[in-house]
Amino acid sequence: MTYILHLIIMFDIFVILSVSLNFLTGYLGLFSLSHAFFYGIGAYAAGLSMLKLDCSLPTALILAAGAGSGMGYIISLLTYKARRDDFILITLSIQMIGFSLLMNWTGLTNGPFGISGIPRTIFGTVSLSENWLFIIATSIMITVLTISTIIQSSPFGLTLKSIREDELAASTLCIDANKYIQKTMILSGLMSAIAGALYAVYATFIDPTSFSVNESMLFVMILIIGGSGNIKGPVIGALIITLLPEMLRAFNLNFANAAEIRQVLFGVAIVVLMRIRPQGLGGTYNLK
Amino acid sequence: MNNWHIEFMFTYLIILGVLDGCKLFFIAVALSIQFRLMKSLDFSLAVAFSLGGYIAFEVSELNYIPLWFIPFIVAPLVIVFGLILDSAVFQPLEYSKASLLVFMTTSLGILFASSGIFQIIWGTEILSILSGPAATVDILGSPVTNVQLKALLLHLFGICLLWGVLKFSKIGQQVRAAGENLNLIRALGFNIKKIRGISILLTYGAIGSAGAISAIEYGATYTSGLPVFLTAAVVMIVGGGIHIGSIFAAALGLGLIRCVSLAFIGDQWQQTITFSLLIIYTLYSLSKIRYPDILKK
Repeated sequence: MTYILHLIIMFDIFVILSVSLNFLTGYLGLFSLSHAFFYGIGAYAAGLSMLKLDCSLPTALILAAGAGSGMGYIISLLTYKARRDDFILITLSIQMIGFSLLMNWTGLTNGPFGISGIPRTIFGTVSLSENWLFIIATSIMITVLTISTIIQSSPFGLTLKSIREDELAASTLCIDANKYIQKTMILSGLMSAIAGALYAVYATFIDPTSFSVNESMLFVMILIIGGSGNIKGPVIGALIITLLPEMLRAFNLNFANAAEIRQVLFGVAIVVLMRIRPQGLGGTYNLK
Repeated sequence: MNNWHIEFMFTYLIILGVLDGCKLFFIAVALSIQFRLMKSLDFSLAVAFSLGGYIAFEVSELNYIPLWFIPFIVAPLVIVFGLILDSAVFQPLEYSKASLLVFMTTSLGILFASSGIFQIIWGTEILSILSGPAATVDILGSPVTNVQLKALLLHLFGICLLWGVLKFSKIGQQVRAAGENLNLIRALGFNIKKIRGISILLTYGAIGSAGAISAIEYGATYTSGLPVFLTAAVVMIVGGGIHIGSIFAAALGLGLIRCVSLAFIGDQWQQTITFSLLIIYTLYSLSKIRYPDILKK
């Protein structure tokens, strides 16, 4: 039972992450390679506030969301006017700098040793069981999916898609693309940070290697394999990344190399999908 | 610290900066050939770098091959890898008129898959080729190791070779022209497949040998490719990606900044410095582009 709960909690976290990335990639057509940094900011904000400031889980989640959206705002200022390759380069640079900060700002993050013993407290000293964490993570995941569904068909979501399809045409309708991109970055940063906070509380240990550029690439892969531009795609992607190690176990593959095998399969899947179905398994946005 | 110490350290860091700059220049020139042809960052070149390192390790295990000759054995093998990759993955994408984003994502997929394969085959540890302390040579009062010196000479040889082929040979001029305007070259009846093949030969050969040289100095690891690739990409972008002189200036500048800054803030912040420069450069170049021009890209 505990194992199934673990899978569901990780699935919840991956869904939140891929939905947050979907806002940028699927709705705006912008490739962000800094999502692992947002995720890390949320994890460290929650972990440090709970460990050092004795904050409860709701306060830690709010702090993480604030830190993530704040960073989203800062990055949106840096990526103002940046599109396509420029956007990728700036977000990649931010990811590299952010990882370097997590690794070397030892006074705050404890550097490569990470932070251990993050408490799972809620409202004072009450410690959360795995069951409660499952309920909280799933509730947040459902809330994120609901928000995403609402946004998808709202004027805001349609505006984002119009910017993605033809920014010049959108600008003739007095749509300020930069402002919409800024709002989306803040929303995306907020959601990723919440996913990071949930991860920190669930794992009770975080270190910088969980938030490296490889993780950013992995999140992009999840979205590309699942598909972007709708709700279904990110959920499919998250489901695949959660269940793939279990499928490997079913095929009696050496579990010691499960992470590497998963990496190889994901890489190959990307190469094949880009050839035969660039919009991913369940997506609507065809990479252009 | 007295004046002698400061002077010694400064000279040593400048020498290190020049060595670093030469390495970056060699890799950035190779990257720019591929970048100009594909018009997109090709992350599979990071794979070629790591693969070059691992092949160098395997070749060094044979014992009877001198270290300085290893890059010349590695380069053809990495070229074969590049040709296979191109014919199996990138050419079909080009025939289907795939977008640049699809190209880049595919190369990311290759990087991801290869990284996993390297870990399965060679493990996650750094595989050292050299053992024991290396002999040093005194240059301007600073101890430079023999390996560093040989690496510099090999990089300089590679730079001269690349520059000579690109600048003076007929096929090199065709490669440069294809980078400028592929459609025009196609319309003029040049053999695009041949030009593409030569580009791959130059790029993968250079990157593979750079990976081998790096492995001799620091050991082979699956994580070595991406940071070097990204740093060289910064040099290529900041250097303008077209003129060899400006790429050289960018490489030397970045090498010196990275190494001299060691004296003030330590080596752990080198990546931060490199990528901060990229952000500053990208923001500067964006500030020069008028709004509709961005959309034309």
